[in-house]
Amino acid sequence: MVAGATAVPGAGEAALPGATGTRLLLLGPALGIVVLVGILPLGIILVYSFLTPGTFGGVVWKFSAEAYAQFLFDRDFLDDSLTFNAAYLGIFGRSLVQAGVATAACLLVGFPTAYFMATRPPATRNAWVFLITVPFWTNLLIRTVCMLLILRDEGLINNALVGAGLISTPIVMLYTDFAIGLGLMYSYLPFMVLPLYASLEKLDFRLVEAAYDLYAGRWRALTRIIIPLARPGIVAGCLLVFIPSLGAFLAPDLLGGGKHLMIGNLIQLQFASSRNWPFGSAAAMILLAAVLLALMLYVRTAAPRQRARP
Amino acid sequence: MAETAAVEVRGATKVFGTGGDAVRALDAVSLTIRENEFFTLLGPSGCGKTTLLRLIAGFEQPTAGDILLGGEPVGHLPPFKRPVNTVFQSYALFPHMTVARNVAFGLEMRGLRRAEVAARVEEMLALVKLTDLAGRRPAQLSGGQQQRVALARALANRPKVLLLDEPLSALDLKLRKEMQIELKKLQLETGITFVFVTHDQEEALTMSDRLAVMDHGHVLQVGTPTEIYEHPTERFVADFIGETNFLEAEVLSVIGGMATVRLAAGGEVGAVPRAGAGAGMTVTVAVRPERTALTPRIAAAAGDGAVLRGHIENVVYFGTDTIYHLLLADGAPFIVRMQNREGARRAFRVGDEVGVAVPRDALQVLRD
Repeated sequence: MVAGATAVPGAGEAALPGATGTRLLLLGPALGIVVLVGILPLGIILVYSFLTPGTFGGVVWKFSAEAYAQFLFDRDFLDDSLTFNAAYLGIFGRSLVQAGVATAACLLVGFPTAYFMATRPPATRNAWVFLITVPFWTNLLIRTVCMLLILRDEGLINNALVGAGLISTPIVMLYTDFAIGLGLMYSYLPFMVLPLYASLEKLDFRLVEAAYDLYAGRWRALTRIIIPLARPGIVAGCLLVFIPSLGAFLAPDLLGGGKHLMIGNLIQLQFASSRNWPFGSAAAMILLAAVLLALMLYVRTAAPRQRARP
Repeated sequence: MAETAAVEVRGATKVFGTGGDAVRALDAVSLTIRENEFFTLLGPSGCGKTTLLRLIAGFEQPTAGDILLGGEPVGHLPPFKRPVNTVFQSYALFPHMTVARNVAFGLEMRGLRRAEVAARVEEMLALVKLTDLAGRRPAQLSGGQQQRVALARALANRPKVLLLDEPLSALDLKLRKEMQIELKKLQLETGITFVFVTHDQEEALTMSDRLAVMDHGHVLQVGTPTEIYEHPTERFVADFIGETNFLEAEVLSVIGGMATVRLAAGGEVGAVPRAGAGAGMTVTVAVRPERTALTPRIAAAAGDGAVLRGHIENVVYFGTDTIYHLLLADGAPFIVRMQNREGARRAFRVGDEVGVAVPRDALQVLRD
């Protein structure tokens, strides 16, 4: 505050005497929180993933890379040899596909929704944003259970269809990948709509008129002008949906019936019934590494295009 | 008329909103814009000129009436099916594309072959002198350069009609003057019909072949710049374009395209009549300040002009000329504009009792 009040606009703040100390003091609280809630827990997970599991949960302080080996291999009880086992990789792959499908579905549903909101008169837009955020007010568990009530054999949809005479036996929707995907989409759709809306709301619709004027029909105005300009929102929305979907365990557990494990369930199980904290920590670190890798790949491919501006 | 009109507007009405909030932006406007013409829609903001342009472009559908392009009714067609292109007031350049890609956009959308697109883009960038900046993004260009890109992007499609919505309003004065000359040159070189919207009367007078003066959703007068300036038929037109003195008068006679009026401020003088003006009517006549001259009061009226009497309230020196604000004998304000000729002294001072010489033909009878 002191440095800010005396700083001449445009002059380098570092040039002021004592500015470095003041800056550290001001940054202190924020840095402290980042370390406390961001770096420290991750550090604990990393350390635990290299320890030995305790018999009743917890860890024994003895170094071991067993947890990481367990992710890819089976250890033979008799001769201690390792044989490759793709079961956990399969869970990981299925999680990626499930999260990818949920993200794509959110984008397909979210884009028209956000476009609709962004093209309303400014006075009514806030009301639409408000409606989008309403589901957040209720616990995710409760909402997922409601999805269960809608999807099950005796649920809303099947009862309605049978009642209307359209089908004679209920369509099995619950405890399928479809149910998991739908649950994920339902849970994270607002995370897609809000960044998309923020992008589209800023869009200069006179550019769309210009595209029409230059012989672009509605589809090509969408693909050549609107979507490229909404790209930051699309990317942000996809990341915000994909990442929590990948680690989700509520929807797969309740709507998938635990039949189709996803990586989130696997991790949760290690800390609950399986009581293998190091393996749970290792799986979490592998998930983290995979997400980071995906993000870095994205930045690599996206950045040159943005840097090409000058 | 043997040749087809480039644009024909037939009784176009545009109403925005419904019920009590309804705004009649255009009210039964009819206009004919000829081939190869530089046609200007001139009027104050809110007069409906931009709405009319948007109707021609296809961004708005007329509530009633129709638009014809080259004789074909297009009122029902979306903008991307009309042979017209627009230069937007905001330029509306695509920010995520280079200059060259912006210019190529319309050509690509129409499915021209790649080689032809490239050739046409090069030709257009050369035309607007932007060849060196083909790889830049719009955000890296100055306002004047963006303006040229917008022009090139529209002209590349060789439209039958080019619509320009106040394209120069964002430029500073010097650049605006340059672009005025360049636009006029481009129009002559390409032979494309230009429909130009502006609220700047000077721009309209210097650039147009013909112009339409609009107000409150109506077209008040259509004509060449000379016709509009010298012979405004409406009080609004006379007032909006240039400086004008309005005088009350009574029509004494109308004979062979020439009226004689008795001015309320004194004197009888010849005036250009309007349709329907007859002897005995009380009318308003307009006279441009530069068509009048001050005389020492003693000088009598010469020929069939009139001499009004008044005294000088204010003198404003403008370099090339001087403007005198007067009060006439009947209390009406009057402005005289006189050139400062070489060696001439400013012989008239504030408070002087003077005569104002109004020559014959300088007066125009208005429709009130």
